[in-house]
Amino acid sequence: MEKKIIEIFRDYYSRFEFDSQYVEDLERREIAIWPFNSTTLIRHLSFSNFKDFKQFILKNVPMHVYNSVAKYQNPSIPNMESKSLIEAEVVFDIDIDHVNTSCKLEHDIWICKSCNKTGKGFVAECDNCGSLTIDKKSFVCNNCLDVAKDEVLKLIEDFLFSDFGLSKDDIKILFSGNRGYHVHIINKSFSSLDSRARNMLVDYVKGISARMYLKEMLKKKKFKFKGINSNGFFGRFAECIYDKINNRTYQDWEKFGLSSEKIEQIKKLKDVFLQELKQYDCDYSFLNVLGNYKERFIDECIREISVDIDERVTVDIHRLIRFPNSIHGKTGLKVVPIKYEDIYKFEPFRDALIFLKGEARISFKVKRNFPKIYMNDEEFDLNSVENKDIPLYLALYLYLGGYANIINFSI
Amino acid sequence: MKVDPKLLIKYPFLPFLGEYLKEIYFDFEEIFKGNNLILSESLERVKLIVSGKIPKYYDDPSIEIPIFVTSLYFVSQLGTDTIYRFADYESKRFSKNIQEEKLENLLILAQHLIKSNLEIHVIKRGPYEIFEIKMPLIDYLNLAPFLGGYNWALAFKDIHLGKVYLSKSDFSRLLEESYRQWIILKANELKDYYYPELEKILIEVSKEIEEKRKTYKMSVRSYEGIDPPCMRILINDLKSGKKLSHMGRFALVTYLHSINWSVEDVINLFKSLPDFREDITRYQVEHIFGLRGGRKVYSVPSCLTMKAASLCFPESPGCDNIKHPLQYLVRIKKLKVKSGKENN
Ligand code: SF4
Ligand SMILES: [Zn+2]
Ligand SMILES: [Zn+2]
Repeated sequence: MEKKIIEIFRDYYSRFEFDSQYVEDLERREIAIWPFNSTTLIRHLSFSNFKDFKQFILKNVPMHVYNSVAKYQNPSIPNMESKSLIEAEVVFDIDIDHVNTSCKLEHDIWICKSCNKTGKGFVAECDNCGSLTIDKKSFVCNNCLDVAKDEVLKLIEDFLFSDFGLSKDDIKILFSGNRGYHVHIINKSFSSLDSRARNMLVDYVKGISARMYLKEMLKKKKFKFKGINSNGFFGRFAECIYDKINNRTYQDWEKFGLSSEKIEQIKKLKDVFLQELKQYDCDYSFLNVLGNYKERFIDECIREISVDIDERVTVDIHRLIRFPNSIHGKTGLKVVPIKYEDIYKFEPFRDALIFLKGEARISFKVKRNFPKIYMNDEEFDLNSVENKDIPLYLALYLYLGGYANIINFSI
Repeated sequence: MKVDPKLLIKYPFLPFLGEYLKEIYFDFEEIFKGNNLILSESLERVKLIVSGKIPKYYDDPSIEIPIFVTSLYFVSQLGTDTIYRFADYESKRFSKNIQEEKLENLLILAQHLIKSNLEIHVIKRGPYEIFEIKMPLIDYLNLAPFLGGYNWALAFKDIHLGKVYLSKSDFSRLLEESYRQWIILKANELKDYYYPELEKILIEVSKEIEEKRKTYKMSVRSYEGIDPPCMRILINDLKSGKKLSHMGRFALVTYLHSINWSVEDVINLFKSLPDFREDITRYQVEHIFGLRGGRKVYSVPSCLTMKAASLCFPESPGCDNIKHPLQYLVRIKKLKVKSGKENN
């Protein structure tokens, strides 16, 4: 089967024209590939032009292709210091794997490696023994990808545009080919930031310090901080609180866990709270009315206004990242560059499909419950696709992801 | 334009330093021939600063400026630690000097240090007018990570369209940091100038300094390299209230111990955990610090152990070919000095 798959990958690459629109200064980048049937990455490659690059890809047809976010004086020298860094794009990686989407209850299972307990949905630790070593069998559905897109928009609009003052020409958005998106900042001054400065950006976007110190502060009797009229994180924090206090119904608060006594109190003081939030220096200690639920409330707000990026990707200036328009070898989907204007209408399971021609038959490796998925605007009930002719892209998605075997296919 | 050279005593980074040095016929070779006040005073200054004592500064710019430049040269020859120590001392001196300066003057100084456009922004609040300085985010990001304390985190600043709005005191603190970086940069520029006649003196001084250093242990925590990625991720996880695995907890505490955190500081860090129990945490931390039980001080696990526990997230070049997370700090420090040189 693998041979056949290599052939269709090759066919895709032979028809694709790579150019500098997607990776500028190719000759300064480290290129890496993950060949089929291999357990290691081949690193420190470099190409002086796209023609040579394409030739290499056609000859070696890899499962995955990467380029460095950095540009180097000598990209092909294995030693990182001798590579001589010129600059490195700041990249944010949004991966739905880290986010607890509601649909995960339907399609994700976990197994605790310590006590063998299994369960459904998203957990950070075993709910039986508390162990953190957990095996996850996850799946990505349309809803997961929608959530990822919302996070991307939050990152771009709140942080990159409004806070950092970047414009749409300063950013490059890519669908990662699997569970999320990469957002690159293409801007000289950002590209020269060191890891320390990048760490500061990570801290900000993820709301790490904010969360930690808010909790500390709220233990004090009075805690004044900037309110809704300020810019940046706290402006949005105040806004988020404002919305919740203003809009939550009795039932919402009840669901949140508050006692009727507390809910009445909030209702009575609502206008006072809202007024307080409008102050330049807002005294947040009114949140004490939530009692023990205060922390959860703050957590909720911070989660809503921050973005759960993978910090390693942002901080590591030598990071390798998926090559634009290459095939993600675990899904068969394309790593698609997306214009900011188009992100709203972008549908990964439609716009990142490559193998639109052809059909195949599959059998699942293990039986489990799959969600319905929509691919190419068509609905598939994965629980009844075995041994039937299905589109090649769907068969490849299930095969490359390790869920199924392909019995046969035809193009 | 004639500028008072006395200003250079306070602010040697002002652009007419070069001109002034020419005017007074400043020449390293002349000075290094030996037996002059500039040479002996510069050496004395470096030794005093390294041993944590207060050196003498002169009011006469034609003496003070040559001493400053010559001590900077000596420092550049005596290794990273000395450079950092000297830069720390100088930046404290600078911070005293700017305390009396008016906001306008601070802005002028800033233009020479930070080299980008700063604007003053006036906020009206009732009867008051509050001045804030708008600093480009990029400059902020190059300076603030070196300052300790959560209040420098971006979340606590007003930030809009690429500008960070700063109070006068925050702004002064950032200027101090940029002066410190200026010293380090200049020392690195001087590093490659070689004067054979100085070899003997330099060997003597570095021996002397080495001895003083032993009695004056530097705290590794201030201004030193960034944490290794594995530890940084553990710290960030902790701060965001994520539970750490047993091994993660253990590794982090040993690490914080090795970079001189106090028991209290470590316990504070753990406070953000949802199921935080002070008594248990204290017991565990004190145990790892060697303050309890067998009094064994536990050391930081090796990279191999970290890897085996899925706690290793290596980043190049700091993690290249290292066996132990503490080696990361040493490597990054070296690389920093190097890249500072390359940038010029
Ligand atoms: S290589 Fe060592 S220092 Fe670097 S992340 Fe891994 S364990 Fe930490
Ligand atoms: Zn378990
Ligand atoms: Zn889903």
